[in-house]
Amino acid sequence: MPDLLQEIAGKVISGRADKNSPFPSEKVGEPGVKELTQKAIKEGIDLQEILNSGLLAGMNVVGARFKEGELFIPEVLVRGQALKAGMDVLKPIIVKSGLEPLAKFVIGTVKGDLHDIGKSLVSMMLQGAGFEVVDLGIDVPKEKFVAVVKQEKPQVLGISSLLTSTIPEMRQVIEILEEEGLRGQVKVMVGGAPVTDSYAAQIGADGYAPDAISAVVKAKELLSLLEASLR
Amino acid sequence: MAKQYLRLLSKEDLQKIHHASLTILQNTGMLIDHYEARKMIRAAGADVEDEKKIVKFPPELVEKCLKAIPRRLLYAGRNLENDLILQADGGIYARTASSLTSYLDLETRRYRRGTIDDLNQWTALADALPNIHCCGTNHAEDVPAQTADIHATRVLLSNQRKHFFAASFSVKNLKYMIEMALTVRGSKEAFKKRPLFHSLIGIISPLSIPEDDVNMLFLAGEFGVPMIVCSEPNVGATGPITLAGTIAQTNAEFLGASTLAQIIHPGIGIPYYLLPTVFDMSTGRALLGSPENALIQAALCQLGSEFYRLPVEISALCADGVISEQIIFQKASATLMASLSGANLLCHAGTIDTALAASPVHLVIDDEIMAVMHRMWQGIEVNHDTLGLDAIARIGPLGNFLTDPHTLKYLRSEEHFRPTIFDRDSSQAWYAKGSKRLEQRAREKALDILAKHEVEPLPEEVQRELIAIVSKADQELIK
Repeated sequence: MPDLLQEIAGKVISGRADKNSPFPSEKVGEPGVKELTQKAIKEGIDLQEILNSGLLAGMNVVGARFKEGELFIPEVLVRGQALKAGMDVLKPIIVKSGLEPLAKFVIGTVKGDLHDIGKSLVSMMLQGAGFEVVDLGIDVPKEKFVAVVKQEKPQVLGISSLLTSTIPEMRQVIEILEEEGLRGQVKVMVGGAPVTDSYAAQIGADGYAPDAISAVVKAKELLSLLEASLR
Repeated sequence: MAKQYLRLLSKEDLQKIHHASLTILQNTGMLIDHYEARKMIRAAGADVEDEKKIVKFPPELVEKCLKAIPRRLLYAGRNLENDLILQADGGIYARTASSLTSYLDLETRRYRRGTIDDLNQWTALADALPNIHCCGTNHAEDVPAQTADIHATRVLLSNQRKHFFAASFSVKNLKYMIEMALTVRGSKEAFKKRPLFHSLIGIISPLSIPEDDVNMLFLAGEFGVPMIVCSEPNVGATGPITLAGTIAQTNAEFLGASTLAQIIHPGIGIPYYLLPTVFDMSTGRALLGSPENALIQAALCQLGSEFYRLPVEISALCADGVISEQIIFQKASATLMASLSGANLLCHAGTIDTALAASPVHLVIDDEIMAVMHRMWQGIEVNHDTLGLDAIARIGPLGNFLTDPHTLKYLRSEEHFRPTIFDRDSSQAWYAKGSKRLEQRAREKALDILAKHEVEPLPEEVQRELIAIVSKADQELIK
């Protein structure tokens, strides 16, 4: 593997996004993932290689360190931003060259609920794991969820609700997806403090995760299920 | 007598926090998503940017409105003997939570979604326990989700006699809840004088008040429903990672919301209640039982009681997880700190699992914890009689005090706490009586109470009317 890819992975692991990034403080002024990814493209390294052996290889190490309790959430998020700096460079070229697109995840908090942080955390973690995330924000009407599923054709839809009063909205989103005949093409995940595994099953969701980290694991699991079912 | 036993912060620290909060409100301001309310605040002298919905509060306005908050708060029960009066230094009391979605089954010990039957059991228990002074509406899974708050309010009005706390889903729902409470009281005037319940307005931290919550404030003020301001910044996520920073922000959120409240309805009852959580950086969960929670709570109690002289409510009876030993430790240590720092109402009695579930066993244990807290809070009364000089003179060297009149006088007074479930037997006696652990003793006490306790039912026509209001709400609110 070219040294440059290892270097990219290393920058993802240390969380250095680009040369202007203030983090880590002792590396200020040094190039980051963005510059190194540009360099790798210019050198003609295979795009899939840059993605897998550079960017995602680095993020895998980050994920493992997080799981071991070595890294905290803000530290993972900073590394996710570094990964994204590389993705932003790589993605347009990958799309243009007709390579396999990345998995898409649409996420939002249901109507009537203005809670943002849990949903945003999941969104950031997913981006950090290489998903293309469409974040619809908070207070999202069920019709909007469905319209975006139609338009964006995501592999996974994530619905969030924190309030006991807004939980029923999640069921209604799933019902409309069924009515519109869209349910088969998208996996649905639900989350939020009052949600449980059994509640998720009860309303017909495909998956539930108690926190942002398990959400990424769950999303990947659902993705492989979806691929298997479409094959 | 001032009961500020514990002063975690210096006077200077309290000043600094107050000024930091005023600075936040003046420079950053709050987002208030309500045009009418912003118009009123502007008229009162605040700087309003309507296109961004931002209100910047001048310190003089905040100070003025702070003075207008009642220093004495009546949480009325069904009858006078259940009334609760909250004021700085005025005693320590406890309430359960609102909106808990799960229930730890008293008999099967299964953790599951809560039902109306559970709420009936829960309220009967809260009604009977002497150290629980105020109850809350839990969420029931077996009634329509859109009106579960209204269904729960009916249970609280019918099945127990203490003042209660009812979070409402929206201003539409709050209307029906008030209508039911007026029915029990007989008239709007009677309810205004003796409000049977209080409710809440939610803040979305950082620094934002949703439109519907402002509408609730308008409605609550009209009927004299006291309101708590539910500011729940998540230390490190929706508030600064430093404890002082989150205290300054949550206090600013209280001051901003209470200023708004006093402008809309001068004199509306608002206790000093705040509920910061701690963001677990390893999992992203909101914690309520960490040492940082206890420190923040103690600091807020001191700020509310010593600095603002307001009635103080704090959710120190919170704990994380479901392991009993840990729960009891977290609750007891945080509650002791809060009680000694100026808390009046200790909230979230009976909750487990970071305030997601109600556990009747823990409600009984918390009742006992509160009895201990009350004893600690009372402190040591020192006067001629309690010094016992006459008795000591009577007994002299080598005697004993067991039958002295001084002993008999204080024997059944509040001088001594006596446990109901905490065990004081010798190990031999404990084994001989079946070696029951605390949870088992609490469970047996709960079952015993439930078998015997009766709450006087409301008049039949009132009960019928309440049921009719709930059905009307179901018809009108469920789409």
